[in-house]
Amino acid sequence: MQNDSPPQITQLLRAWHDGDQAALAQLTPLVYGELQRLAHGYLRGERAGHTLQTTALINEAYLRLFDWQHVEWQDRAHFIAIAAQMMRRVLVDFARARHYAKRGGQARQVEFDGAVIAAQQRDTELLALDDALQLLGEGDPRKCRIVELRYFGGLSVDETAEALQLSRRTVLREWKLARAWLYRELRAKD
Amino acid sequence: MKLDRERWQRLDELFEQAQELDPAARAAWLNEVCAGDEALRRELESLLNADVQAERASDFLSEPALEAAAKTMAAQSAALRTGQTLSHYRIGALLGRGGMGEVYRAEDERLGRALALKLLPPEFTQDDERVQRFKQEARAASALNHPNIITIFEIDQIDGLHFIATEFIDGITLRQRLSEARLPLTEALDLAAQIASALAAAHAAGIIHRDIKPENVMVRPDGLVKVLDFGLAKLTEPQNPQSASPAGPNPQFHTDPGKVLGTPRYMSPEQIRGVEVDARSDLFSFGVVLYEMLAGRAPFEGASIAETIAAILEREPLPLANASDELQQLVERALAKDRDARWPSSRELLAELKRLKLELDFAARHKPNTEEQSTLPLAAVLPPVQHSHPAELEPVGGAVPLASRFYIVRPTDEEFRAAIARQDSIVLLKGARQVGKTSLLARGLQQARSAGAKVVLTDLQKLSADELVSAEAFYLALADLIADQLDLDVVPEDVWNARRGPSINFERFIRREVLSKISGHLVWGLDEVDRLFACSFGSEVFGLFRSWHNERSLDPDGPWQRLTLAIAYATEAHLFISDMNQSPFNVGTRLALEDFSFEQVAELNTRYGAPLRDNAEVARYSRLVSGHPYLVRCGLQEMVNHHRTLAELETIADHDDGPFGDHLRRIAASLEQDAELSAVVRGVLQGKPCPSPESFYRLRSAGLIAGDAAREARLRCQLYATYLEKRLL
Repeated sequence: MQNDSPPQITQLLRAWHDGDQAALAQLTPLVYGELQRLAHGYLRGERAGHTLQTTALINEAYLRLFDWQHVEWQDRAHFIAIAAQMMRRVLVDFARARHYAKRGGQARQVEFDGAVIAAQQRDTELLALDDALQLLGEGDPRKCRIVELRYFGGLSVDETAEALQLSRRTVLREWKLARAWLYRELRAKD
Repeated sequence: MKLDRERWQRLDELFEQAQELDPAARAAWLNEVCAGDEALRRELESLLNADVQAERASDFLSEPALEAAAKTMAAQSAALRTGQTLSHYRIGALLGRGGMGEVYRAEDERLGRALALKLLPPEFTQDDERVQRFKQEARAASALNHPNIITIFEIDQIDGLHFIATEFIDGITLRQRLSEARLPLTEALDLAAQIASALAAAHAAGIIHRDIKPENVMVRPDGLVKVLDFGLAKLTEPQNPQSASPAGPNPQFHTDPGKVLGTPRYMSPEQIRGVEVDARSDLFSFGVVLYEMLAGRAPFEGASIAETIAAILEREPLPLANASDELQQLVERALAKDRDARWPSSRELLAELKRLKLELDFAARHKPNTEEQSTLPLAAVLPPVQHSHPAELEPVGGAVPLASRFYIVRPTDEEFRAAIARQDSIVLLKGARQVGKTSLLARGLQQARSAGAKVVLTDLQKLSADELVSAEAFYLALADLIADQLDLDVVPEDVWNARRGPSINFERFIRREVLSKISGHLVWGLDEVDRLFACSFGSEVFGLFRSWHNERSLDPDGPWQRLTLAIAYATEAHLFISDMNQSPFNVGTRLALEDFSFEQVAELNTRYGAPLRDNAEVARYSRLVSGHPYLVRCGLQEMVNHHRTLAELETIADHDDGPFGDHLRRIAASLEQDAELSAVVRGVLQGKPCPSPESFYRLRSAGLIAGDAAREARLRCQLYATYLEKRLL
């Protein structure tokens, strides 16, 4: 029956984790596809003058990508961690690509509106976040993992706690400091 | 800066302690714990400040990265604005947006000709070598000058923005065509032959498409097909270290092993496995498209990408219901998992396709009444049905509760939810009785509600006979229901003007009393709409809905932008509408709900704790009740509640006091009231065809019989056959 079937994404993630870069290239368009789908939803919403409530859509997108239910329980925490790392890598790659595409052409005739500028800042900030996270991970791997799971993996506090075998309280406490530290690295004026 | 571990640990501890403190007490505490270590104090203080700011900032790690990235993409994807010029191209309307970028209508100001401009997403164009390979392949395909391959004018980049200028095709994609209505067999074969012809030409020149899917096929109103995006898949291919050697003299013939996932649904097994692909990969994708054109659904579908991929790699598609053996074999051979078992080339596949098409054309000329039957407008020859409405055959099943874990998500669910999320003007859900329309409608409405839309649901089954005597009464009843559900401060009768026609009154009501009084979008679900088909004013109502749809496309700022109609009705609705031009059933997004597939029955079985012990039992059970969603659930529940085995269930299945008894008795009772339909069912039980298309469609709408045409009518499932044999023969 179908829950016996080996979910391909799990294999790709595993292959990537084992150093197979081609696997990442296969995962990339899947993430891109979900982004397109979500982006499309936003645009529709904007045009109709609404802000869509997006939590459900985001959750669905994560679910479509990572079919947790089909992963054996013992494996799940490991799988989730790799999935979050993959997401980090792919989203950062996208931001980098857009960032350089932009810098390549200095004199675009196109007038950007506020949303576009905000989007460009988000790209730049994501690149900085990736670097800062690298540093954080060297000094305090667990905090880095928590940020990865929550921010890139889309996990709730409880899910993060379960995946890392920590208490909810610990996750919250570590998240708070990690976030403060990252904020200071990225945004603090002084 | 690098973190000093020891110091960081100290900070960690102090940071936590600080959380417990009252802000006012912090300064004193800082002095105390950091005494003599000014650097520590500064560090801690700045982190505490950063914490406050991060908490306040609404845009710092406050939403998942995927969401932020999607917003970024949304903001940047509308990269060009109408009226703007890019080089010598004046940009027109955005025609579409897909996985590989946006397409704009544009005009070449130098040559004065219309064209389509496709912008490639920067995500895939950062690698020059990759872009080169794409260009070579795309140009080579275009240079074939084949009528079914789109002509490329130019591939270039301006200011880091990569674009392709192609001929402008005034048509729709095959995807759109497929969502409009089921393709007649002759048309499906005609379109397929044209696609195969484009592939044959490209393959002969050593070019592989790699991404054949309905979105990449355009159909012009005159029926001419154009295949788009040759070579575009090159952009998303992974780099392979082994092939990074300098390009040879014929780089366009050089193919990298390893292939990326696009839309998994159309990918060949070897693409998924990431091995080097050849032209036969296109044949597989072509097979998927052909299957979808013939069956109305894709051969490999899953609730998630992983499941779809598993289906492509492991599962055989269900046989086509309406195809000749030869056509079935043609499709099967294209869909062989092992490429050595596929058609050896597109040329041979094309030849066979053409032969089948000729045979079909020949047969159609000599037997004019068979092939086209299902697409003829039968309404013209059928009297409106006033008695024995199919609805009477329906036992009380009821919707599956929203939170139920026994709800099975089908591919139509996702399409319906997407249509609701897109705020389409009209979304139609059709399907036989008890196939799950109401349950799906409820889920769509729930989704709209949680997205902040206002939601109304009117179940026409609840209207009394009095409310269906005239358009006036009907509209007033609807208006009352709507006003009540939205808690509007208006009495519909008060705003009704007797001098105006009922449709005008109702339209004014919706516009002035509903849409202008609420904020945001309104999703109006109409359930059991088939009740209207028997009403003399049905056409008028549908005409009104249709006019809203039309006005919406004419006036982007009008009130109808804010209304989505989600209409659920039993299968053959159009038979009862006298004027198709008035019908809303040929506009909007149309979704057909189907019986559970084998996999879905298996999934439900799992959710019930697997009372069916293995796949063989699932198959046996599926034969007994087919995929009838209500019966499937009913029987599983019985097995679980009464600890019955399948064999035990089978012995009591057709008993009047068995688990399906109520359902079966009701069907029999309704049939017995209609001598004519009883006679037809009796005939079908004895292996005869339905005597008339009308009786066939009525029985099929009622969910009693299955088949694609009157002459191949059969009882919907074994259970019906056994039971009705006892009762009627």
